[in-house]
Parts: sequence; C-alpha cells; structure tokens
Amino acid sequence: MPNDISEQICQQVKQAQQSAQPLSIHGSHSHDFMLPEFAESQQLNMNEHQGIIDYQPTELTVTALSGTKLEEIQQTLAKEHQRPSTDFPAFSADATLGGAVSIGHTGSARPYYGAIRDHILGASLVNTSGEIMHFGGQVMKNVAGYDVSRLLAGTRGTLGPILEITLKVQPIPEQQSTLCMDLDENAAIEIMNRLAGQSLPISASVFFDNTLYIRLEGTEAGIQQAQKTINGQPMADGVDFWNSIQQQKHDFFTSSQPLWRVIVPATTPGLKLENQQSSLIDWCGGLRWVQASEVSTADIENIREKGGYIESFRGSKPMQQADLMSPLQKQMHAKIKSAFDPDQLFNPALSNFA
Amino acid sequence: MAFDPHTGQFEFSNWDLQSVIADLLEFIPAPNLLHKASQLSPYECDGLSAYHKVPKMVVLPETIKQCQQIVKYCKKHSIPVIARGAGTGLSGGVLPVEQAIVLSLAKFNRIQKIDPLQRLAIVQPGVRNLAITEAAAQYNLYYAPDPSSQIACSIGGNVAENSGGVHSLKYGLTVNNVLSLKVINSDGDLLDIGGGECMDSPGFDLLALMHGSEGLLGIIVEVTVQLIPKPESAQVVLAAFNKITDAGAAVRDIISSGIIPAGLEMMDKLATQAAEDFVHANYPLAEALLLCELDGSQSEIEQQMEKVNQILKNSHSHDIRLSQNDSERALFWAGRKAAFPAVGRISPDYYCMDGTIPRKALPEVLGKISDFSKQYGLRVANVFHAGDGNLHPLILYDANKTGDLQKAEQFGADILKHCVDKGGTITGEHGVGVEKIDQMCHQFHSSELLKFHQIKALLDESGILNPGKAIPSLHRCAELGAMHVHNGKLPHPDIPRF
Repeated sequence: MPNDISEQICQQVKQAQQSAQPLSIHGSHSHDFMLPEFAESQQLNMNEHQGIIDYQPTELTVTALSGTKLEEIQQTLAKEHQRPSTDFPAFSADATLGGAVSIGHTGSARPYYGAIRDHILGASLVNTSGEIMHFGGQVMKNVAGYDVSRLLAGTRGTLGPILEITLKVQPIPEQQSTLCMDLDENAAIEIMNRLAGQSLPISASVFFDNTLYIRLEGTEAGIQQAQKTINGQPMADGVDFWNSIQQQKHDFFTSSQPLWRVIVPATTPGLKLENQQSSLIDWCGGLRWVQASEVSTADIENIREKGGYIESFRGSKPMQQADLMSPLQKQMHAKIKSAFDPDQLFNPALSNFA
Repeated sequence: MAFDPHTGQFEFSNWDLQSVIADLLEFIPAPNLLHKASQLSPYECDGLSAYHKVPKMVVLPETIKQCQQIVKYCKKHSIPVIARGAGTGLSGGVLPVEQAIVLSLAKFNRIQKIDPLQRLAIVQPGVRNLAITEAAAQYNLYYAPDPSSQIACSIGGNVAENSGGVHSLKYGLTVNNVLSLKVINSDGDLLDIGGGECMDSPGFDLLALMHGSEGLLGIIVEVTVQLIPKPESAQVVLAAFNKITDAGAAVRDIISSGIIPAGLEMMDKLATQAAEDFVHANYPLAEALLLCELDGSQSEIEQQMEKVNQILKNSHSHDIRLSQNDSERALFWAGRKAAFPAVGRISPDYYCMDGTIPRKALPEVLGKISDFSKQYGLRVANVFHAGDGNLHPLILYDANKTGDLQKAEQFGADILKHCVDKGGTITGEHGVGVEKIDQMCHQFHSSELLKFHQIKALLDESGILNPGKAIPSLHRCAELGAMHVHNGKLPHPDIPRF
C-alpha cells in the first residue's frame, strides 16, 4: 500500500514559509557524496513518502510517490515483463525515484534509449505556499503548458519537493547479450560511434582497460543477426558486468582515488588529464569517468574547449552546478529558481545561481 | 509590467509605422521589411485559418545579430514580437496580435553541419523537418520525429510546439531528439541551452522548458538535432475491424505482448472512406482500420510480425494484409498520411482536434464523440495515433453556414474537456496557441497557471514575446465560468466570481 504523506509534506512547507526557515529536502542520501554540504535548519525527509500509486502495463506508464525505492519499481514492473525506459543508476538498495530524477544522471543506455528526463511524463510539486501543483500527465504526448515535469530533472530539490512522478516504461527485451572487443582507446571510441550509426540493437557501450563492452538487447533473431555483424567475443557474465557499472560496484569505481565526471562530445578522442590514474568511457564516448588526485585549470580549460565540462563526483570537494554555467545561463537559472521559490526555502545551499 | 496574467491585459504602444521602418532600416535591408498589404496577407494566420489578423509589419532577419537587434529594439519600444517558422501550426500560435511585429525565420534555412560519426546535425530554425532527413540520408541516418506536415514545417517551429508524428511511440517527440538550442531571450541576449554536442548539461533541464513553449520564452535561432540510423527494414500490416472495441483490444494486446511498433495508427469508417476515395489505397471499409508498422532487422520483424498477426486474428479482424514490399508499404501509409486533406474533400471545412487519452479509454471516448456528433448535428471523422493515445477528431462543418463554426468549436471544446476528464490532455502535439486557451482552464488549476505566468514574467519581463498565447489569464478562466469541478476540486478557488 502506498504511504502518501503529501499532506504532511505540504504542512511542513507551509510552516517553513511562515517561519522563514529553509528546508533540506532529501531522499535516501545515496548521492550526498557529490553534493555541497547543506545543513539547512529543517530536514524534509521524502523517504517515507513511498509506494506505486498507479501502474498500467498496457498504457506503458507507472506513477509512484517520489520516495519509492527504484528497486521496488523495478521489481513491480518485472512481474509484467517491463522496466523503466532507460537505465537509472542506483548506488544503494534504498535509492529513490525522486532522488534519481532530482540528480538527473542517466546510466549507460543514455545514447540509445535517452536520458531519465526523456521518460518523465508528469510530476507533481509543492509550491512555497504548501499547495500541490500537477504538470504533464499520464499520457505519452502532452504539450499543454510549459514542460515543468521534465524541467525538474537535475534540479536537486531546489524548485520544491517532488511528490509524484509518472514514467514511461518499456517491455523487457527477450534477450540480452554482451560482446567484448580488445582495442585501444581511440579505436574503441570510433567503433562505438560507428556501430551506433547502424541499425543494430545496441543498448550500451563501455570501454575500460583496453576492452570495449557492447550490450545487445532485443529479439532472439535480432541479437543473433547483430552478433554476426559485430565481430566480438561473447561475455558470459554480461548482466553482472552491466549491474556493476550501473551501481558503481565495478573495480574501477571502488578505487580510493577521487572520481571526476567528464561530459564531452561523443567522438572526442581519448582524454589525458594531468593527474589521471585511470578512466572508463561510457555513453558511446559522451561520458568519461576519470580518476585523478586533482584537476588542473589547464584540464578544465581543455575540456571546455572541446565543448564539454568536468565536475567532481566523489572523493574531492563537491562543486556547485552554477560553477559550470555561463553568466547568462546562471541568470536564467536564478530567474526560474525565483519563479518557483522566491523565499529561498528549498535547498538554497544547492542553488547559488546569483 | 506590460502584461498582467490576472487580466490578460497588455499595454503595447500604438507605434508609428513609418518611424519604426526608418529605425529598423538601420540594421535590416529594405527588402526584408514587409509592410504593404499585399506582402502581409500570407502572415495573417497559420494552419488554423479560422483565426486570422493581418500584422502591421513582418521582418525577415538573416543573421542572429539582426534577430538580437530586432528584439532589443522591440523591448525598448514595447512592441510585441511573434517568431514564425513555416506557419504550418494548427493552434493559431503565430496569429498576429494587435501591434505585433512578426519575426519570420524563413531565411534561416541552412543546414550548418552534419556529423555522421557523432550522428547529429546543426541546423538553422527555418530548415524544413524533411530536409534534415533528406540531407542525412547519404549517411544512412535520419531525423526521427515526422509530423504529417514534415514536407513544409520547420525545425524551429517543431521545437516551439514539441511536435510529434506517427513514429513517436518508439522514437519520441521533438524534445527527445534535440541536443541543444541557441535562443535569443527577451533582452536580446543569445543563450546556449542544452549540452551543445554533448548528451548532458549542468543544472535544470532548460532544453525541456523551451520545447513546446510556443515562442513565449525565447526565439530559437539554432537547433542541434540527433540523427538515428535508418532501420534495416520496415513492414506494415493493415487490419480491418467491425467493432472499434476490437481494434482497441488489438492495440492493447500488441503493446502488452512486449512489442513497441514504430507506428500504430487507427482510422474510423468516415476517415477511411475519405482517404480511400482520395488516394485509392485499396483500404477495406470497416468500422475501424488499424495500421501497424514494425521496423528493425529483417529477422526481428519476421519474428514480431507473427505475433502481431496472431493478435489481430484473436481480436476478430476480418481482413489482415501485410505489405509485401516498400511500395506497398508506402501505399498503405498514403491514405493515413493524406487523411486530413482527404477529409477536406468531403466537407467545405473541418476543425482538427488534438486530445490525448490513456489508450484504454479509447472506445468510451469515441462513443462520447459520436454522442456529441449527434447533439451538434455535425459529422466527425476520427484519425488516431493509437500507439500514443493521441486522438485527432476532424469535425466537419461549413464556415458559410451561420453558426456552424461556433458549433464546431463548442463540439471540439467538449471533446477536449472529456479527454481531460478521462485522464488525458487537451493537446498532444498541436499546441495551445489561441485555439485551446480556454480549455487550459479546465486542465490546470490556478496555482499551476500562476506558476506558468511567473516563469514567463521572469524570463520575459516586458512581456513582448508572443503575448496572450498558450497560457490563459486567471481572470479569463474565472470569467469563462470554467467551473467544471474536477476530482471534486473547484479549479480556481482564489479568483473572485461574478
């Protein structure tokens, strides 16, 4: 049974507004390591607000309260041979849907199935007066009003507590298979992109330690045909491998070195940061995970010149998103923040756009 | 503030044509400034010609800098600006308002870059949707969203409306296929929105906010789109049903069998008849006609087609035909793609609606539409993107008959309200524009509408960007008596009623 505590959450927001006390909105804390410290005076815990409130397999939609665990959603969908429409990274068993949307980072399927935000159909949000606002809906196509539900992806709770989210879901493909190829970094980047330009049932490609891993998902016939086209070695424990990437339990992610998240155009050749120890390439080349004791100004500049950006992820001082924006982008963020939260009630320490 | 969301009033100065022409000539060449009656009439409406007004002036800038200069000028002089693409919109989104300058992006028609390895194209906003696919064809890539107007509509307009198409269930809408934008805000500043050529960007998803914002938040001057590989093969199956409920059941069963068709379309008897008379696709005449397209590798299609065929038989389809080659596939689609003009041949005028509903509500909603049809004495042909629940009832009327247009509009409004009551929306892909502005009052409560107005007011302080469209004023909703009690809640409790 869903445990809907919307009323309690709205009440807490109202009180916060009346007493002018900012709120620290959080789920399972599974991303705290990457967020700047924020100890606002009051905690707004979304964890209890959980449960699937509507699941219609034939409509391909699921609506859940924001504190619902991703694991519960996955298990419920799996009973109907369905799953979320893209990879949701989960770093702990109690990672929540609201947390995943608020952070907005997508797993390895990003280049093939789209980002998390691509599969958000609707959401409800609490305004500073403690009223519930509904945006989007439970249907596939909806262009009435501004697309506030997708806007919420990546907002880190700074526009208000998200109460409910409707996601598009997809059937679980009949089969999954993983192929490996031994290659150097630049050859791997080129091959990932070449393959992505062909009609093949690829759903992820990762390069690590001179091996390119390609995940195929589809019908039995489709996968057999793709295996013939791609000249790779089948990997026996492919499912475990992809889980270890999604949950960051792979050896690469468990190192004690600080971890950086680098976003670049997918075909950018291999990066060599000054203090780089190791790297793992995901998203068909568009996401480079880099281990480095620290990052130099020259590294930052070099990545910016390539059209991308670098952010600290784990093990070093967390960064503000605003630090990665141009002055005009910051200004636009500040305006949107003030449209939703003029009183600076919601996670103000995470939204210093001014 | 020039624009008041509560009343919908905006105060724009009654500017002097000659002095504005003289000012704009300082940075816009004379041939790109249209102000004579004969030049202006093509700009009086978009694809929804029931609403029309001749603008006072049309400007056709050729550079981003000129666009910025125009916006800065208009802001300074409090002149509304309406950005216009190809003018194929279906909701009156570019209808000129009093005192507005129409800023046409028709001259922004260049494809600036195609990167086949990275599978993206950087294009100017006036580039036609289909032109992107044609240019990418040499790399075996294409741009997926394919609104029926794709031969003429522009990519900038697609972004402004978040256009869909017949393949959106599998391949997504415009918002799912665009990586980044360059946008001019109401200060005339040029903003980068989205990740450039990257798949992520820090902060809020501003790219999503811009999609479907109907020219109210900025003027799109560059679009970076994703291209995807052309499927190896595609095949269509056409199935006829004696009962709409059987066709609805077939749609449900195809989806729950784990197949996501590339396209899944339905037409009712009147629409099928009109399409058949027009393009001679050799359609069987039945209460409902279903078209289901599968794409992928040949072996994949064969495997899935077998399942689909079985489902269609089990759902009592009495006539099932599988396209045997690409030309037959094109013929099967020809009728569907020409459904709107085909219906145009059997009635002096038609009014196209765009509600979206949960698929399971289809038989009930079609039944209700049939009741409304009897009530208003107007015929209706139904064309339906069955895969994503997007319904296009075409209401047939005669504009020359007194009261017919009003009846058609009221009929349409009733359909949209019913879509909302069934858990759907008033517009799936055509936008709100001026046409559905009153129905917005039925779909949203005042706290939500107010939030939309706050976003607009902060991003466009002077209110010059396409004012009066897409989001109704709270006053208008209250005054309209949009008092339909939805889920037991009064929609606009804080607004005085009279």
